Amino acid sequence: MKKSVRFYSGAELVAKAAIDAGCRFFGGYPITPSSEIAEYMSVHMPRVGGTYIQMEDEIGAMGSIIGASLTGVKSLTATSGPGFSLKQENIGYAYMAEVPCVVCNVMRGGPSTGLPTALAQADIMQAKWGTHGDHPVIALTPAYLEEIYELTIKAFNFAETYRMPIMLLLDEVIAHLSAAIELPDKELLVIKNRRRPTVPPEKYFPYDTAYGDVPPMANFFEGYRYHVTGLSHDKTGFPTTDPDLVQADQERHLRKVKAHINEIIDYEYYMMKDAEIIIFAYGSTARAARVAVDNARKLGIRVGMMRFRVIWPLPEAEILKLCSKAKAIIVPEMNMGQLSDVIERYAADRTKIMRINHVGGVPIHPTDVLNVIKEAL
Amino acid sequence: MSEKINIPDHYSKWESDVKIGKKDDHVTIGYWRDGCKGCGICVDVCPKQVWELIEAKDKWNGQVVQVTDASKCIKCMLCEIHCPDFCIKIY
Amino acid sequence: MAFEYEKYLRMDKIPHLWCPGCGIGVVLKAMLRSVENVGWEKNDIAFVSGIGCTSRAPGYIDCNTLHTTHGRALSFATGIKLAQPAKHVVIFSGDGDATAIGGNHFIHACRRNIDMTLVVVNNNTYGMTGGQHSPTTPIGYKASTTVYGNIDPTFDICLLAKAAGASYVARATVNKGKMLEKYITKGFEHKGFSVIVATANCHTQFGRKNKMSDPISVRKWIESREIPIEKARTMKAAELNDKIITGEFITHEEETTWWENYNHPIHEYTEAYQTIRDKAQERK
Repeated sequence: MKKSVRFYSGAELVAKAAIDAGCRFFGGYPITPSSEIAEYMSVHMPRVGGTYIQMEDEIGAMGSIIGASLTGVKSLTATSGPGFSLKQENIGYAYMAEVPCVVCNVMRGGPSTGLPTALAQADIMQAKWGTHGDHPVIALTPAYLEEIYELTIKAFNFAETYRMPIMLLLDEVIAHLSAAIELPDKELLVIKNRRRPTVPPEKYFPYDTAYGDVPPMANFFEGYRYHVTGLSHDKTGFPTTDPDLVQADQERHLRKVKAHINEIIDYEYYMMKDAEIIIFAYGSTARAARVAVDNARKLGIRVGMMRFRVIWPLPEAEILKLCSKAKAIIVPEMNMGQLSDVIERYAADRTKIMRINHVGGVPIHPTDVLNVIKEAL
Repeated sequence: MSEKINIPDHYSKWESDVKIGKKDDHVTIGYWRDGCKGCGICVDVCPKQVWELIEAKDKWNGQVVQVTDASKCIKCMLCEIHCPDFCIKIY
Repeated sequence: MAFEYEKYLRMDKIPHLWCPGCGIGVVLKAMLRSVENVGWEKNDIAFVSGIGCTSRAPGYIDCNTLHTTHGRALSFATGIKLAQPAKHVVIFSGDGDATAIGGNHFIHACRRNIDMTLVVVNNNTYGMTGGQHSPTTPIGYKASTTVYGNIDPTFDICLLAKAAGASYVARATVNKGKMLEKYITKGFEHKGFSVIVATANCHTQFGRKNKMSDPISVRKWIESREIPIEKARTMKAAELNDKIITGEFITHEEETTWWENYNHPIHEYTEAYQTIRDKAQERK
């Protein structure tokens, strides 16, 4: 087998993986630091017969990918903090109407225009709570270039499997990082597609729970003439204000992720066997933390790291277990504590939690982490 | 005329022979009372006073319409076209 | 002969939720007759709408229907049309939905000249939220948020669409159901972005606050202000104050020499994008 090793940037890998996952529609709007994804898409989408469009604004970009996805075309948009905020209403729509799509957010500093060209992990909470109302969330946080490719494909698979928008959260440095990497063989990729209805149109209901929590999805123009709305709806897709139906529907939405949490959660242990100090990290900060763990181990400090490849939902049981036995927990983040606030709830009185919060746009240095490790002793 | 008259059973019907211009014709007016909200647009747009408003206690605005005299109809279709509630069919 | 609206309706949802005499029903009917006129298959049509009274229309139509977020219908529609260029996409929108919150999508959809049809039902107010003033509430008129009289100048949606690059633009009022049908049919047949503005009555919200609380009086008020475009072209600007100019503002067959048409679109978007695909694939 011929190995194909070449230079890729993170942004390019998002676009490439999306196309390899079957994405054939990209609707975007220029925003630093995610524009490279759009640029790559504008070149490669037409080559594979897909569509690239630069919409008039972020809101329109989100709307366009939902529209395209409803016709059966896998779709992607890419944005950054402020654009992600603008998209939130339509992201909520995609949750409510259960339209699969992937939203890539190359995170930058905030609030507002903040630090457009600098590194941050500012949207961890926005990814979870950005839109109004309750909804399930799946957000992925790759830390390495190979992982961007892998997790982007996974994001599309999640979107198609669970019929919902999936957040792909990249740190600015990871999106802009270039390196020679080897991509997995395309033939071996696992690509999932939405479950299609098996019944004739007259028996089809777009939100039929008889098939489980994720109802089969018919595409537009295929003979299943159904109604899609952002209003609370019953199984037929038409608006309802019946309290029981609305309640049941909301619970089903949350169950889509909750009931499949073991298939969704994704994390990596590093030097965890005998660790008494545990670092929880994700994205680019995990790379600094990893070096810090190596250096601390050289000093004989028993420290390990749990790195989240999927940040939402969190592997709650595992975190709780670790919090109960750890001497100290360290959470390095490029924000003011969006994840550490959550971890703190698990740590409670069980252990002490130490935060590293950098929002100046300069990456957390391994030495910064090492110093805190030493403090934790 | 061999056109198929397709007025559902739950419609009220009025029929009459009419003269439109110099031509003899036949009109069938179908009206769906349950769907009617009594807005009175048909009464207003009809150039021949075919429709009239009548009291209807079961409707929330207390009125519906009925055909006064189908023989006055000239099949201009204005009432059918302007009924916002899909309640009038003219054949 | 009566029209079989039942063929295009989800009859279990009728009667619809609009007030007695609401103009939206008249526009919806004109649109359904237009669908029949052009002979489209129901499976091949997507009806898209935003939020508001008008935007509840797709729920009643037995096609692929999409009720989206406020003002964003055109962006969803753009995604649908680009993903499936062979299908028909029709957008049904209100004046607030299309030109206030959705104003940006509106002008850019016009600019791109994608082969879709937008029907804007202009009832001069936000009906569903309680009669607040919209970008088309005439100056001096009252709304629940302009109790002292509106001072906001209005949009002429047709001129806006034309200036932005839409390639078929027409306006008719609910008093002329046949004319609406004619324009919407032409819009459907037209290759490119078509905008049909239907001036409609909202007596419940707009009329009630302006001494016209029944459908007939608002319809009469609209009728009294209608001026056909041919006549309007001969009139002085001051005479056209508060008037509703009806007719075709720009059509595809007409190659007028007016300077206003200088930005008449040169291509339809989905066709143009296909040339991009061809170019990209040649270079591959």
